[in-house]
Amino acid sequence: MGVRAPAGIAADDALVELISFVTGDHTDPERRRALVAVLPERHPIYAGRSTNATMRIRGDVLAAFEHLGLPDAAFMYAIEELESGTEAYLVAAAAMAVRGLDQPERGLVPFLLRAIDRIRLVDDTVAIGTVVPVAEHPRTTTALAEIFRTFEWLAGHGGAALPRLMALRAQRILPGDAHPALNAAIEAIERDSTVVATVPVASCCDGDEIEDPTARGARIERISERARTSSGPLAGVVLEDESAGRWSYSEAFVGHVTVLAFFYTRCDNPNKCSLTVTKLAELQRAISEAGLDGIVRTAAITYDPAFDVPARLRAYGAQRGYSFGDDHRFFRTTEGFDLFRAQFQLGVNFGEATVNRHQIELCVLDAHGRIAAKASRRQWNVGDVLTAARALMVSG
Amino acid sequence: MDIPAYRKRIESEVAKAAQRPSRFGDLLARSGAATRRRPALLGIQPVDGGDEEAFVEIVDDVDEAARILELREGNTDLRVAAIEEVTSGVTERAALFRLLIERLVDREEDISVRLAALSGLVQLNISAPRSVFDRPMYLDALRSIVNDRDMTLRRRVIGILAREKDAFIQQQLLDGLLGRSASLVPASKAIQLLGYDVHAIPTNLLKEIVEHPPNSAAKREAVRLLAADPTSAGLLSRLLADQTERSDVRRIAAIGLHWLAPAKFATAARRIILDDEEDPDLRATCISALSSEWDGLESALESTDDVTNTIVGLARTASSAPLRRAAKAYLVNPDR
Repeated sequence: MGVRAPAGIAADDALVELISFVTGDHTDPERRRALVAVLPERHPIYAGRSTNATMRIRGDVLAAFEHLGLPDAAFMYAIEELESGTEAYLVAAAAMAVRGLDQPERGLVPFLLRAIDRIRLVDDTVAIGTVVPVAEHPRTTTALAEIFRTFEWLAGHGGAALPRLMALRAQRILPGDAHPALNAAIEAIERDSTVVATVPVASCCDGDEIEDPTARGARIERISERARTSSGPLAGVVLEDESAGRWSYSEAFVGHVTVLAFFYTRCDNPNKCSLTVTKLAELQRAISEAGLDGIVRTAAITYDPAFDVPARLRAYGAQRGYSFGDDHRFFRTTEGFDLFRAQFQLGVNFGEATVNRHQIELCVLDAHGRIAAKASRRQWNVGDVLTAARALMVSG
Repeated sequence: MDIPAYRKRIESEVAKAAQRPSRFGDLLARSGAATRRRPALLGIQPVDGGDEEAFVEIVDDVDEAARILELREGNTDLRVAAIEEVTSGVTERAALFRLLIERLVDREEDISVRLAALSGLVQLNISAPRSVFDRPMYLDALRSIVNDRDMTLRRRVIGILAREKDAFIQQQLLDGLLGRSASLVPASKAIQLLGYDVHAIPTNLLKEIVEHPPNSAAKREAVRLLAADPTSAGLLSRLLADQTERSDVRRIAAIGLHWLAPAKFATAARRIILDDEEDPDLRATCISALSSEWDGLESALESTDDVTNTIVGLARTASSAPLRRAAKAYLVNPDR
């Protein structure tokens, strides 16, 4: 016998309506615009939903772009999933989404290869557009299958991936069911001799960093002095650091250049919060090596202030090699989180218990506490962030 | 410890174990069911030409085990042993993975065999290379039997999916709690399983369950899970303070509040420890929790002397054994 459902819990009708819209008429150009508007994490459609429900909405929206065409405004959302996603549903959808580009782009290759390495251990059957998860469905796919289909679509433009794909086949490290799609991808690339990949594999696909030959998403977006928003509205924000010290926004961030990252301790995607904080610790060391101690600060603020009490902030940072001190702190807001969230336009939303979805994001604040540079969605690189911070020391 | 001698002993035992016939081999020999040929159903061996196309030579015990499972021969013990044998051979012969899946989802198969197949697959999920372990196929198979009539199998399968944070099983469990579909497991179990994924915890529903519980077990589990929800600190405080509430619920609320809001917990715990009329098991829980939160206690309270003095007394004279033990453990805790 079921319990009495509290008001508002039966949100399925709204979800069904949205998914019907998403998976409906693919010829309507207005639909594309409407779907792009739903992609930012802070969109109210995601408020109060579980992580899985949020994931399905986003996945179905992304997958719809395969037929609608993938606009520039949606491109980085797909790239983000291919670069850092750990959910088969979203990675599959992202692989489908990029097939909506006007032309195949060889810049997709490193993202697709990175996605293979990550998702092959956690792949799953997905049935896009089914609203709620089902045990069986006539039209299912997997993240790996969709990635290989995208390589097949790339054909000759995916030439730089050929050695890696052939190695995958030879090493037989993928399940048998993945091989037909892999073989089809290899054959399509080999057949298409019209486009020759000029980017050597070594510079495109190896190592920890992925270059962005598509040049659509700069790793660090610089904001001109004129365009920086005043931090005045944040006067009402009260912060508590990992030692339970109390700070106003200006006390914490005005007077120094600060690299500010966002995270929360209950994040279960190791490529997001955990990696962000680990890289923040690397940035600390780079700051020190550059002789910038006391000049450039680092900080991190939790998306989950009610749960991430000081002891948790401290433990999380320490476990990832972060060294706390006068110029290096973690914070939670004890007052004014909504104000802070709005001012920074944080890419986060919340389910019933905690964060349900967030992007990778990091800001570089100038000495007035204003956002002067921002990294969103893409994995940021310690060197680029340090360069952005240094530039502020010169220009202010 | 003599390490080289120990290593030698272990190596000798492993070598001896390798030479012993497997449990399957032993049962097969005693059953007299061994044959030399098996149907070429899985393509494990190259098929000979002519009228022998349908059959292939049995090469080893793994082959023989596959034959027994494919043809559904032998008694339950032999078939269970065959599952274990096939599991050991999956790494070398990927097609055997599918055989395990087939035995697992076959609702007409003996339940012991199905449970053995599940155990084998769980083991392979950890040990087998991804080239043989087809995770999508495995998860699909599990999802297809979440409503199996055998409750042992059902619970194990649902537990596995819940620990994988599977969206399908989360929805099924939630639908069952809300009465939208038939419950797969009791409400308390459903709540417990949803707790594997903090991002799936339906806190509003859990609060409703606390206020209007279908049964006491469900209420206990709901209270336990609400320790993940910062907005529930007030609810947990109220439950902890309510002397008309069941002792087990108050103890779970104490643990949850200790996790969620240590300072709030310390204040409540002090009152409880100092009150000789309070439930002894609850007092013991509070004392144990404070053992690990000494710093929090000091910062939350103006004075801890009265608490310490009370605990000293309890260690000596409490009539409740758990309370006496908790008090003694608190006093000898080096971290305090």
